[in-house]
Amino acid sequence: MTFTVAIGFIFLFMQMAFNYTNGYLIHHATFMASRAFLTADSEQRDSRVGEDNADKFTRKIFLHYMPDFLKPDKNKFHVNGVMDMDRRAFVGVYYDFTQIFSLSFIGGKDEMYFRSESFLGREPTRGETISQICKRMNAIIEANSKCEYHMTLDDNGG
Amino acid sequence: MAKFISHKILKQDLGQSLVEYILLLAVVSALSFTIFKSARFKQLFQGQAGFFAGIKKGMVYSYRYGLQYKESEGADMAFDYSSASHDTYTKNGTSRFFASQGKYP
Repeated sequence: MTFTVAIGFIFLFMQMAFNYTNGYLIHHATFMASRAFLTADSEQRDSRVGEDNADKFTRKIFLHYMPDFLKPDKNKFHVNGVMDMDRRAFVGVYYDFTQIFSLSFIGGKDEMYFRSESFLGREPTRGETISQICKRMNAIIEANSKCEYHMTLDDNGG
Repeated sequence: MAKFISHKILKQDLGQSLVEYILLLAVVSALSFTIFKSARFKQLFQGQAGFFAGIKKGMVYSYRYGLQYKESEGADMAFDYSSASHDTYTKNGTSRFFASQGKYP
């Protein structure tokens, strides 16, 4: 019995170590996907098209960075887009997954539900930038404008 | 004749070790079974409540929020971004992030 309990504890610590390392790998994949979502865009003037394109690209990046042995489930990877989120602080990505707590009866084999999150936000799309610049320029040159605007037009390469 | 044979078997000690081993195994197995199946053992080691349940909650919480889990405070593990009360961002009305007080022109 002592032997069984001792082995049980060894399996428990082994599984806990696996949980931590698998968790870090998944955090890495989530973070890289969030970075992709931050900057991905399209050559379209429509922001919705740009965001849809970014969504697809982000999912591709996530799967690229996820190790195959973790059996990534693309249905459990979610993208919080700018246009669908009321709370901008949570624009980014998250991934839900489960791990067992222990390999033996010590600690139990119940599943734990983890969530890996990364909310880096999103740069304005090319379409959004064009429309904002156009709006400001129109405000300067329109007939009744008294040039009461002070502004700098800046191209950040986006 | 039969009486003679049974007396002869009883008088020798062949197989005594085997019988003792089997009896000991039965006692140890019964003891182990009783302990492993007891509610007390399950509560202590199998993580439904108590020590290991706390460790489980702590792992899940700290993985998501990057903060140390405190059972006394409770934790909303089912947070679905419908409010601002994400523990990493705002907790108990305070936040470790900052922003300008006024709206940027």
